[in-house]
Amino acid sequence: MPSTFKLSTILQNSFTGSATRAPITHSIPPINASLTDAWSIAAEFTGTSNKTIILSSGSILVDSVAQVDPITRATIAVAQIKGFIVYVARAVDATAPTGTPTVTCTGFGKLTNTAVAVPEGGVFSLHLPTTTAAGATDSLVIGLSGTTGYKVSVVAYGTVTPPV
Amino acid sequence: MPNTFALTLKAQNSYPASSVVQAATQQIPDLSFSENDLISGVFEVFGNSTASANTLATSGTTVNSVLAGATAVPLTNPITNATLAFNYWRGLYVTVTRRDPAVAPASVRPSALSTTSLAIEVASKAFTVAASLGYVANMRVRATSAANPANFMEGTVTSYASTTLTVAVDTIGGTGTLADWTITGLICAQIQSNGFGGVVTNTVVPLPIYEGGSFIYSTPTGRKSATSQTLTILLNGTTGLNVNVLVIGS
Repeated sequence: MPSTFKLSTILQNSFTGSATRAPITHSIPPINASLTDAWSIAAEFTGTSNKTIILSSGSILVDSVAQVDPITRATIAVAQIKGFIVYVARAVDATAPTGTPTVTCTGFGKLTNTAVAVPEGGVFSLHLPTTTAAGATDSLVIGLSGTTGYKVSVVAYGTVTPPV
Repeated sequence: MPNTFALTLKAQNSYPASSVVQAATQQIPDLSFSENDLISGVFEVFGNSTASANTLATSGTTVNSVLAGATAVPLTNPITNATLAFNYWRGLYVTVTRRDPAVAPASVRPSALSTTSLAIEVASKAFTVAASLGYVANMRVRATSAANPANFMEGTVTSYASTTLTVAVDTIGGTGTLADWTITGLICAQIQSNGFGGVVTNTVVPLPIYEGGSFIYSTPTGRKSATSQTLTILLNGTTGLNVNVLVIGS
């Protein structure tokens, strides 16, 4: 059974004052990826310091810790990054959060962006079903410096097979 | 009835060699929100667009769409036809799909050869190729060694003049100085934003998104929009793809 990744969105507008018309639904095409040689990692970040997911010599480090296959315990060998999802929520039992987390990619999934604010409830995601080789030091930085009360969930995935 | 939005995300690993162990599922919490004042606009890009870019750009609170150099058209409420007024960004959703299921996407420049001796590195590279090929600026290409495909350089065409093809290489594989390049136009869309949707991407290297790919930014707390923020969608050299853009604001 291959590894699967799913992503779907739907937006429904009902435009106040248009009671005689049915709501309009916008739905971007759902994403369903199935990869036979996939790796994926999951991390939850809290605290008040920046957290980094970075490639180093083909392995993937989360906060400087090399990630392993949760079943085989072998170090994950990253050949391609196929996508990532960042979700920001309020930490359990936290009072009102302060500040706003940010996400900054440097080549991670081929995306390089300046820090983008992702507030509570926000999502930052990229899915690339056919991408190219990961860069040697691609990184994704979760900016938690200056914030309190957040939990940032990250899922990243890709393959262990280089592109041909 | 308020406007509603829902997003579901799930990643599941099954590890073929671990049949005795249950699949490991990693799931981001579902996102949903419902508000009365959400507005949205839809923009669709397809074709080749080698000559001019497709853009969504703010002008005051209006978002104007420009398809392949055509006249700017403001996004409007599809029911009332009133021009939408975006004061805050709430989300930007870009997906790339096949335009016609029966027609495979293609590049106008499938391949070309170059014997220019070049070192594999992230830098601007000038390849000597034949003249009058289909290269255009902003096309994404990959130069692969004929002897070993693991040796390659990939990037965006910055210029093509006479027999000189200049590429801003941003991705590499392998090492060495080689002179047996096959240069292929990659089949993908590219996007670039200078703040549109609340996102600022690299100003030099557009983000390539291949068929089936997506880019999503959702911010329940609105990001203030500003005039002249632009999302540029490039299909330079690629045919058969559809770029679907959904922008949400309030």
